[in-house]
Amino acid sequence: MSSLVNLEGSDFVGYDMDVMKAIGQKLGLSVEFKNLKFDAIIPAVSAGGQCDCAISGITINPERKEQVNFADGYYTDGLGFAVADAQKYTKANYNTELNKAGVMIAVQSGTTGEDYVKENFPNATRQAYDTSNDCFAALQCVAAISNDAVVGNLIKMSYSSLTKIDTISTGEEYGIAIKKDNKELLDAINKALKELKDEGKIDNIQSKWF
Amino acid sequence: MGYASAIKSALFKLILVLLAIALASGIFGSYASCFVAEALSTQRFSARPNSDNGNDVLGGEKTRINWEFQANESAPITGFTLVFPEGTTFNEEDASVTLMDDSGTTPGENDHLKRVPIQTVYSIDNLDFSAKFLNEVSADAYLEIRVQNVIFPQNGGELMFKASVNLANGDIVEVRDLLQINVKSFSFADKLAKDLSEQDWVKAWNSNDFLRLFFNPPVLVSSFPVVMQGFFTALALVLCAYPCAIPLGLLLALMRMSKLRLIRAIGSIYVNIIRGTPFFLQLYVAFFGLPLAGVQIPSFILGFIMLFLNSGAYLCEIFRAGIQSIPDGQTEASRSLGMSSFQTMFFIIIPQTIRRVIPTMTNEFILLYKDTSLLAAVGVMEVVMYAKTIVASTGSITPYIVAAFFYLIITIPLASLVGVLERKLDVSKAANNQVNVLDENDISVNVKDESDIDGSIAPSIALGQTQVTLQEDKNLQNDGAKNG
Repeated sequence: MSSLVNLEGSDFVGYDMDVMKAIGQKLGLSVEFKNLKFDAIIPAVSAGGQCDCAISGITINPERKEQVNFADGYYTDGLGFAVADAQKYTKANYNTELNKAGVMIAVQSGTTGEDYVKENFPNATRQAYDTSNDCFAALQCVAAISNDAVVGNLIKMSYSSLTKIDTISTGEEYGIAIKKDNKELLDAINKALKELKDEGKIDNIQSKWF
Repeated sequence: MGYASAIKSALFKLILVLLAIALASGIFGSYASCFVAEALSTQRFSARPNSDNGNDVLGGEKTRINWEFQANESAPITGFTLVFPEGTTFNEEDASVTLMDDSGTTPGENDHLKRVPIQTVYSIDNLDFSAKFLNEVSADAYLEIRVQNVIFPQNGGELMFKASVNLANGDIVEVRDLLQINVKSFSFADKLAKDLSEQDWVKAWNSNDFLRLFFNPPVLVSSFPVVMQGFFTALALVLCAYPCAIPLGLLLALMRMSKLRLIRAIGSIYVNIIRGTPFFLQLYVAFFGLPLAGVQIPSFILGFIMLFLNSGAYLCEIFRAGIQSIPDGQTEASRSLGMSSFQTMFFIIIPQTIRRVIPTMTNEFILLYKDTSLLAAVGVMEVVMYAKTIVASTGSITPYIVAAFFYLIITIPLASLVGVLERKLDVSKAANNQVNVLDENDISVNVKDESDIDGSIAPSIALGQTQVTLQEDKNLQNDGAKNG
C-alpha cells in the first residue's frame, strides 16, 4: 500500500491520483491513467506518444529537468529508511553500520532513494526493484529506502515487522512531469495547481491521505 | 641583603612567571585549536555520483556538492567560503543554503526535518565560493549547503576542499574537518562518449527524436561496457544452470517413463507444474516468498537454482519425446541380445536420442538464455537490469538496444547452428527413407551403421520392418517452444 499511487481492484487510488483528478476537473478534461514502472516514466514522457504528463511522487531535480519540464511542486517529502532488524540498526548507527560491504539495501529503480544510497552508502550493495512494494517484500535485504510517505504507509498497512528508523529531510518536491515542447499543458497545469492550492483543495487531499 | 640579591630574586621570579605563561598558553593554545575543530562538525560531505551506473563520482561530468554541518560557534554565522580543488569548475546557479531546524514532532530531540531556506548572496573568486547570508542564522545552526553544476577535473583523484565560516563578530573560523571527495578519472568509454556528444554530426543525428531515443551514439558507447557486466552475469547463470539441468531433465524423463506409478506421478506433477506456470511467477514466489519464510539465499544462487529447476522440466519433455521416438525394435533387439534394461537404455537408446534432440536442446539453451532477463524484476544484476538503470538515468531507450545486441550475439549463432544440425538430421532421415523404404506404408528400416550417412557413430541395431514415426519428431519441435 503506497499512499501516493495504489491499485485498488482495477482503479488507481492515492494522493497523486486525487491531485491529478482535481487538476483534470479544473481543466475540464477527463484523466486517463496508465501504469508504467517508475524508471520508465521519465523516458516515456520525454519521448511522448504514450502519455501527456506523469504523476507518481516524481522529485523535481536538475537531472530530470534536462529531460522533461516540471509543473510547480505539489508536495514536499523526505526519504524514509526502514530496516528489518531495528535492534541492530538504529537511527544513531545506521549511517556507518549500513555503509559496509555485504549489506544489501533495497531501492526502487530510478528513484531519488536510489541516488541517496549511491551517494551516502557507497560501500553497501544496492538491490533495485521495480516498485517500493517489492523493496519491502524482499526481506532478504537489510534495509529499504523510499519516499517517506510511502514507507510510513507500507509499514502500517502491510509490513508490520519492519521498522522505520529515520526520516531523511531531503526537501525534495514532487512535481508533474510534462514533455519539453508541451508548454500549453505546463501552463494549464500550473494555473490549475495554483487555484487548487489557493482554494485549500490540495491541503484537503493531503489530510485525506497522510 | 643587598640590591644585587633583590634583583636576582626578582629576575628569578620574572623568569618563573614567563615560563608559566608560556606553558599555560601552550596548553591553552592546543586546547583552543581543539575547540575550533569542534566548533563546526561536518555531518555529511559528498558529491552526487554521476556515472551511468555505480557509486562513482566522475571528473569532467556535472555533479552536485552536498555539505551538511552542525555549527557550534561563539557568534551567529553570517556566511562561509568553500575553496574548491584546483581544476574544478562550478557556478552559483541553483546553489542553496538551507537551515535544517527542529520540526517538533519528536520531543526532546532535534530531528532537523524543518527546512528553512536561507536567502544568500554568492560570490565566486577563482576557486573560492563565498556566500553571505541575508537571514539571521544562529550560532548553533544545522546547515545544508548545495552547490550544483560542479565539474571536477577529468583526471580525478582524492580531491580536498578547504572551508571557513564567517561570524557576526567579525571572526573567520577555519574548518578543520576533512572535506574530501574521491573522484574517479574518466573511463575510455566515457571519454569517447563525451567526444562524440560534441561532434556536429551527432548533434544533427540527435535532433531527430527517434534516433536520439533509440540510437543515441554517446549513450550507445557509454552504456556498452556497463551492460556488458550484465552480459557476463547472464552468461554465467545460464552456463551454470543449463549443464546441471541436463541430468535433471534426463532423470525426470526416466521417471515419467517408469513402470512404477508413484515415480511416474512425481515426475509428471513436477513437470506439469513447472511447465504450466509462467517462469516469471515462479521467480516471484521464490524471491519474495522464501525470504518471508526465513530462507535467505543470495540472489545469484537463487537465480541459478530457479533457471536450473525450470529448464530441467522442459528438457525432460525433450528427452522423453526423443527416447520415445526411438523405435521399439531397438529395445527389443538389444534385450534379445541379452542386454539388461539399464544397458539398453544407456548404451542403445540414449546415445541415439541425444543425436536426435541436439537441435531442440540448443533451442532450449537459447530460450533459457533469454529467460535470464526475467531475473531483472527480482533484482539480479543482469543485462536488462543494467540497461534499465541507464535508461532511468539518461532517459534514452538506447541501452535497451545495447542489451538486445548482447542477446543476439549468443542467440543468432546458436540459431544458425540449430539450422545446420536440423539439416544434417534431415539428410540422415532422407537417406534412411531412400534406402530402406520397403513399401508404401511409410515403413523404414534403420541402417546398420548410421555413421555411413552422417559421420556420427551412434550405435544402432539393424532390424527389419520398424516404423519410424515422423510425427514424434514434430512433437519434439513443439516441446522446444515455451513461454518465450
